[in-house]
Amino acid sequence: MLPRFRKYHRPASVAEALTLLRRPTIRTVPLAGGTTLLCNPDPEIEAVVDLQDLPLGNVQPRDGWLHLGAMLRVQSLVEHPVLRQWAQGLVSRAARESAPLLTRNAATLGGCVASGDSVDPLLLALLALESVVVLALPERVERPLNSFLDGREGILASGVLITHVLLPPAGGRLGTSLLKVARTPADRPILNGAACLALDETGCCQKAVVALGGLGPHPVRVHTLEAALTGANLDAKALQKAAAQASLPPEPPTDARASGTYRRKVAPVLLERLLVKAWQQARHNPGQRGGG
Amino acid sequence: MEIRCTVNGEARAFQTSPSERLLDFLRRQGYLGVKHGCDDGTCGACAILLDGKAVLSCVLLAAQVNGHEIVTIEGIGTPKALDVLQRAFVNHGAIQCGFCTPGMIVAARALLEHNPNPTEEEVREALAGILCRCTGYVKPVQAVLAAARELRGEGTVSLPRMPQPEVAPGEGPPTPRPAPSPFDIEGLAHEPLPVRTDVDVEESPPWAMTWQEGQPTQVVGRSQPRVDGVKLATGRPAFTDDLWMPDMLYARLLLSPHAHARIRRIDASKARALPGVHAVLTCEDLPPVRFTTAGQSYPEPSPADTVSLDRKVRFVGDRVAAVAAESPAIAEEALRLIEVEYEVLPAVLDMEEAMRPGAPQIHDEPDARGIYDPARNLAAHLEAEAGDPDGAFAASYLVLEREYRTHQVQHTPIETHTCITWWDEDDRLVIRTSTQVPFHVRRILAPVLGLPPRRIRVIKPRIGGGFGVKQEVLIEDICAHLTLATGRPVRLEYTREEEFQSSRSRHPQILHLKAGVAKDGTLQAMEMRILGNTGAYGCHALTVQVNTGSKGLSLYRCQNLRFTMDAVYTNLPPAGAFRGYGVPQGFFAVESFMDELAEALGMDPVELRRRNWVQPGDVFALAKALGEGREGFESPIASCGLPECVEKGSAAIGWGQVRRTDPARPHIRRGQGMACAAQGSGVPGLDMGAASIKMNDDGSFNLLVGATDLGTGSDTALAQIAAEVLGVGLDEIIVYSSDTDFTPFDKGAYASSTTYISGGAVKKAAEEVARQVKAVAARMLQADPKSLTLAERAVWAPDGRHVSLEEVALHSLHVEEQHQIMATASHMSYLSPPPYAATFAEVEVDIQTGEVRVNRLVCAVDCGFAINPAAAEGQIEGGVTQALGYALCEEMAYDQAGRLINPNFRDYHIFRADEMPEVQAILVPTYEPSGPFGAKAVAEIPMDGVAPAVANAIYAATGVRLRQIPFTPERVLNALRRNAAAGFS
Repeated sequence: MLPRFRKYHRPASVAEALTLLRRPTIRTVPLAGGTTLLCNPDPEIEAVVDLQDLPLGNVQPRDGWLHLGAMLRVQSLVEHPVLRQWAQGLVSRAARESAPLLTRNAATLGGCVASGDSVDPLLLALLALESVVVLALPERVERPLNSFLDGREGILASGVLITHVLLPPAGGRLGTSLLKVARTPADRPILNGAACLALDETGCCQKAVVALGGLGPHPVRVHTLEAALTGANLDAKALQKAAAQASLPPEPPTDARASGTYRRKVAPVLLERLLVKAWQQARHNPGQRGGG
Repeated sequence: MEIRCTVNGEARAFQTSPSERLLDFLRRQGYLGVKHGCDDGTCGACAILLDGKAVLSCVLLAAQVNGHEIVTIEGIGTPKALDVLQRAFVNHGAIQCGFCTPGMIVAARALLEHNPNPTEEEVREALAGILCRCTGYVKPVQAVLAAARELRGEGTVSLPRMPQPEVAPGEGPPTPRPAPSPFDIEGLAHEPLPVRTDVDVEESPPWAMTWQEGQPTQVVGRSQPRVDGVKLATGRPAFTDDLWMPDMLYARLLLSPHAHARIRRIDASKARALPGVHAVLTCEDLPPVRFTTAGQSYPEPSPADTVSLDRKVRFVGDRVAAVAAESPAIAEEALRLIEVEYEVLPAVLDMEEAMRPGAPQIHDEPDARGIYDPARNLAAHLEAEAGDPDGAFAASYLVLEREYRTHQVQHTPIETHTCITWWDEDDRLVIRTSTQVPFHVRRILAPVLGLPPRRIRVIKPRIGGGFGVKQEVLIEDICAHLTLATGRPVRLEYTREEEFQSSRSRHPQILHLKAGVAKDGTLQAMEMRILGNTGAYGCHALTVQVNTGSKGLSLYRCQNLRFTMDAVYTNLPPAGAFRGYGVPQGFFAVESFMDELAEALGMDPVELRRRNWVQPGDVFALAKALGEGREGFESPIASCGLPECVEKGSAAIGWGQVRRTDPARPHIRRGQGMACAAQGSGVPGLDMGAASIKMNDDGSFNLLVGATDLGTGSDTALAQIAAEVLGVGLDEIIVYSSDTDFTPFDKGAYASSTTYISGGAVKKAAEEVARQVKAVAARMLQADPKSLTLAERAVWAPDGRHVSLEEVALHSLHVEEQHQIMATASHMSYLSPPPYAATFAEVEVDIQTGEVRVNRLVCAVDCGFAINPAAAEGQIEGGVTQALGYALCEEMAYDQAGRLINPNFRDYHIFRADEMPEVQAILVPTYEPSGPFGAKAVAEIPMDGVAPAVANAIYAATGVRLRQIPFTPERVLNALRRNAAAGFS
């Protein structure tokens, strides 16, 4: 029920959308796919700005990066041939796991980023790839996704639009992984995570990025672990040790699926599996250029 | 605002409001195949095609589709021009309640448009967003694959291989010859005629004497498509909410935010003053008539502890007030204007705490009736004993005691409770409602509303699933009160959140088992002590708990038995009837216990069962003591296919052939487990169903049954029974069911009784009609009526002469000794022959996370003679799917204040199509002499064996014994870590 809702807008440009969103007299929110906004709507909403006509639905390689329009439907992330290859298809796989097909057909990339859902695998994959969020304020501003999530509510409340998500180059000896712990194969995860490891020619870790979901209100990067791994020569024991010593949020939430205590106990197990899987993939990756 | 879009190929302009959801818009425009099952895009019942892609219309605004193209189920095919997918769903038995069927077909259509050759995995992915609580997804997936094959030109959508009756090939009916039809006007042949039901049945032949085991059949025992399949596959307006009436008001309920409180003051004046509000009812407006919401036979065994609106609330979600207004939005706004001052009382959420001295008394009202001990919060209590349990325990070689715990789960029918009430032109109150018990609703509501039953008509349209939650008088009273208050039609529909927190659930139980055995494993004595949590009201409190004992203790032969039961009130949402009716709880305990007993004895667990399970001729020693709120009846076992169930189930799963470890995944352990179960076929000596059959001019028959098809396909099974007896095809039987004005009484759909009890009534009525048909035909053929047979829409003499049923009908109605061929019959039974089942599970356990994955499920069921094998398989597939959720993930979770924290499908997970393990249903045919054509029940028993089979499989895999469901990763991991000290890994 939206008792105060009285205006629907469908602008054709980002500038027009921002003008509508920034009106002080009427509480207006952007409407992308609707799968998050309308499933539990804020009763104070008075107007929506439907973004479907904005030119934000493209996938464009540019300077080694991949520019993803915020209005890309999640299912198009699953199907797009470039994304199926980019970083071993991590984004494509994560998008597929994020929701059933009927939801993916409507849900958008921008909506996923805006929701900040703690266990959305797509968001975890974007974090693991160190994605950048492009905002229209109206001036163009780029924020690392990690930083955006930290300040998400404040940023969104200021009447901005997410226009793009940028994926950094993902070449070289890269390995990625995406795993979860859940009551059933398709249940919302208790914990999940995504990892991305890049090795140099000697097997030394050039870069490690690990994101975990289910430990707080939004997904988190495990920075201490990443720092410990970067520059190290990796093997299974090193990964096991690093996972066990990782500094994780001290008080994970309790919900209907599991207690915080369980999450705290199992997070190192998940971390180790993420690292081992990504490392094994990277070891067997001869190194490809661009997004491969 | 105006929008322009193309709906089902027609481009036009529509008026909508900015806030109107696409789902509501489409239903308002008459596209009623688009269903409402949730409001957050999680159930999939509202699926449509938007520019060719399947999407969910409940999370779209109508304004968003301006300029786009929409296809609903109505645009995919119609009854006269079925789409191949619709035909496939009908022919493959893929439809049960049919509420999710339009969404599934829409989603499958989108898949096949761009992928004509999908794999099963791809089909499951396409259907994954559409939750089905009935089918277990097996047959819908088969239907989509079959439709794809036809579209590729690789055959036509035909019936899949279905088990056919194992009957001896006999003479069979005479070779069919074209019967001359006096009706040559297309369409006229199937027009039904007005109904009469006042035919004497004194001369009906003795029951069950006209068909013997092994005789060939033409209609029963065959996987006939459902009689309502086309209607449901095309999204025709068949459900309660698919009706719009002029001047209809929309009702909403104000629900309690407190687990336990008194209403000190309630002021609805502001709400009443809101324009568009026509009635606001509070406890100050209605007489406090105590009743039970449990829909059971008279006199109801559940306590009368409920009033429509009380001065005390007893759980978060209990009713406080009701509003009827001109729109849902106005009704919602009115709720916010009702001022309530509560005196918050201490609440008790734990069932053991609730019995302790000093616990808050939940039912302190003086006018409640039938509560066993209100001061101790005891809704019901029962003790029963047979033989000499203590003596037998003392003499036993081994005595074992264990305690098991089960949890609270919700039925989650995809159609929530929905009701529309109105005064008809004769000033009678009509209640159109999604109920399993229309006749109980009328009887129980009459005093609550202050109306005699004769002024109430209850109509049950199609139901979108029930599973017991609609064996209640749950919302009909409030809806009717609002019609009484306003004089206008009123519609009340639960939201999904209300369905979770304010309807009913499965009783959580603590079960204490004790058994004494001889050295060879023979059971000497058994004892079961149960504590059941009935929540805030005592609906089904006595009978569910009693049923736990009467079924759980009756699977194995033992003459020394003891059973005690307490059902206790707490300040949680009430429990009630739920598929299995206490038996899944009982068999989780008993069948886990049997494995524990076997291990203590050093015996094979299957062998221990084999040595003890019941055999034909056995009588349950506690049968009389454990009746349905009254003395029960001894019921000697006549048919038992349990040994064959175990044999076939073992073979199917490859019993004993699983490797416990996986070198590639060292954290994985595998195991197999099994469990046996028995249920019942109706409540003996209590359940009654009746049926009327009337012959029409064209030789077709109207079958009028009070029986309630809640999606199980019972209308089809009953029509098959009538068709078999009358020698016609299924399309010659026009079924009308569940209308208290037009159909004879039936107690309703529960206790697995419809095929056995109502089917018995149909068979009796059909046999009497057949006798009348033969009498007329005998005059026409100048033959002995005893020599005549009915087959192929005709009556045949031994010499091959025959008259068609049309000729018989016209003769009897118009030509000579004019009379209406028709009969009414009732059926009840003092027997309740148990169906039996053996369930097998193969699992993987992740010993580092505690995750359990069930890879295979096999359920072999002896349901006697299956009237419709595909439907029986569907019951098994759907039942084990529900049971899998019961075992692994489903659980109503609360915060410390008693608030349900997962009242939605996002957090309360039920299994989806894309995560189901391989499920195999096996029908083990037996012949039950007291059932119609040898049939027994099948509906509930698939619920009983999955949880213990999975528990036993987890034990086999890890050495960890889990005595509490569900087996969540946390519970399993904690048990694994506790067990680690024992060195079993």
